[in-house]
Amino acid sequence: MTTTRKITVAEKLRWNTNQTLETNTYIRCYSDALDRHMDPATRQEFFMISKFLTDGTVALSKNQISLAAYHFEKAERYIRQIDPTRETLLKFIANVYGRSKSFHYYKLNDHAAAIRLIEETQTATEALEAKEGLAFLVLDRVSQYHNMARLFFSLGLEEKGFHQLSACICFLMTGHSDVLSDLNRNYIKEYDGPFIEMKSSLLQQLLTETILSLQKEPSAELFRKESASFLEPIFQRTEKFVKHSDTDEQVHDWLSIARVFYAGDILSFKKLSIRFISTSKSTKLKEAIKGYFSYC
Amino acid sequence: MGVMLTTYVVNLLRDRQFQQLPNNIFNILMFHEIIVPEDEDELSDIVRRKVLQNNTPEFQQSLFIESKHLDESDYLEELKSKFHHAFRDEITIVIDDRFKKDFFIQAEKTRSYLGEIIAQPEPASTLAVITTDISTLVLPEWISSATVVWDTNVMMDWTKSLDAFRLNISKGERSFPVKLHILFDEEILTTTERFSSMTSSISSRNLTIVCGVRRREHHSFDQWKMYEQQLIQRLKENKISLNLLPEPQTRYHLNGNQNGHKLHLENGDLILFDDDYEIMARPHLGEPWAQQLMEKNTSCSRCQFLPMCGGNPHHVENLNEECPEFITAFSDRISLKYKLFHL
Repeated sequence: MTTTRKITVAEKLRWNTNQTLETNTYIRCYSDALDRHMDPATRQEFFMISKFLTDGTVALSKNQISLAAYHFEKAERYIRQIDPTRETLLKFIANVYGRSKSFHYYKLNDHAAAIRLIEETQTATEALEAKEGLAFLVLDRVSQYHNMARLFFSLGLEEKGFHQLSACICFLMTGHSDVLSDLNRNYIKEYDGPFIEMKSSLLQQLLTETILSLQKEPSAELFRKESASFLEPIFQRTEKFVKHSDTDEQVHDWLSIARVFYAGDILSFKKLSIRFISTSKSTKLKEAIKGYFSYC
Repeated sequence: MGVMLTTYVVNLLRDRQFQQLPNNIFNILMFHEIIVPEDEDELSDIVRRKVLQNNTPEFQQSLFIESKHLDESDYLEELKSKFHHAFRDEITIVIDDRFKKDFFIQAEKTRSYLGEIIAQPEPASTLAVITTDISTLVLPEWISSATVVWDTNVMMDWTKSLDAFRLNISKGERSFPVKLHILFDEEILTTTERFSSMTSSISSRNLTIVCGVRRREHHSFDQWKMYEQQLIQRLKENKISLNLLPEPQTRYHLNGNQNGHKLHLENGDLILFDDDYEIMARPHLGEPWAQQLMEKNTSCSRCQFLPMCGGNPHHVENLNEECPEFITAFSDRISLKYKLFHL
């Protein structure tokens, strides 16, 4: 006889290693900023250390914990050799180190250390954002808060986790957060093309990934409860959603349709969903709305 | 695996003008470990990583299940009791022609059953099919990847079978990577028309083809090596470009495992062991082994193929018959792969 193992929210949600955030635009912006702030030798030193950290993260995602530790130790050895006066290099490293190493702590079940490191990284990233061409890294902080939410789930603090997830999305929608107030301290003066692209893409990614993860839940009742905890604060902010792109418009439409589902008008929900599926260009948003059908 | 470098980049590397390299080129070279830190002991680093990757309890091992056991009721129960679920998230179900009655249904049942005890909510499922006929083989949609071992027969019109197989795997909505190992008979080397009728671009986006000559019991190592060289020669003559280079994760060291093997394909893809109920555990590289390689006191330590093959400290001489087949006509293999890029 077999039993189905219950999958917790923490297991359903993926750790955001910024692989999806790191679109071509992100890499281009990051690379341009590196060119601006570092000489070639320093830049290559940074790339090398980042590679070891990435190798560590890749090993972690395959559950190769010992191999990951080896890569991290290697990176740390090189980091220790850096002269403390090389502040710019160290700040860039702090950004990549924090997001990789916190994942390591998470995998080792040392949640307190992971949270502490994310908090430290947020401060370091904020300092980095002050530099020319790096204001967009505020999005990096959003993705770190997303990871922190996952840690809350692992600690059994589900309410806090959903609160955090929603806060990330609300910030991306409105440019302001009552919950994660440090995000309001940023250096974004205007929403230029690349920033809009990255912001919209991250917004769509966080929303759909969370919903698709929650849709792994076979119990309709539990799905409704979990997803409502996540979406309710977002619905409350929908009116203040500042839409900059076609993707934003689609996210907005998606939210309006999802709202109908939670209001209990399943017939209208289905009608609107079918129309959305036939017109939307976003595969992920379509997939996320389709996922609701099994709970109707 | 593999990068192509322009003369300009090669010259920069040769002159150690790393800082002249654009960011993207530098990163690619670093990713492929063509550029490494000056103080790094490369051999030690590679061996250490192999040990840590394979020799740790948390290694995500593939669970190999042979189709002949799928209808044995106590088999899966025994699997469950023997192997801790947290260690693996990938199931490889091996289907042999001789036991293929209803195999896809059984394989799917096994997958769902084991999925419940595996750490990941959705374990990746690889289907490994060993068959003499690929033309009618249809792979199910639920798998994540497939390895097909095609034991060809000299009488068979194999280009036709290959075309039928390509058509079959391109059907359906979901696409997954398929690796096709073609095992040729040595007789095929004498039938020119079978090669000339082959199209030049036989690998496609989701299909990777590797091929070799089947080593029969009466073949000596040198004889078999000669056939391999002949095969490569025939591929070259007919302008058939293939990637016959090993992948970085080649686990050649498995050859030396005392359990022996039933079928061992190069590139570390499919390894089965004689003892039916012990087929799932991948053998370990072992610390002393790695230590010997790192101390550079074995014949393998001095061999140019070591980072690729994994090494075996028990070798008394380089390039003996325990070495993987990719060492045969290595430069020709590089040239076949190079041509693949230029098709």
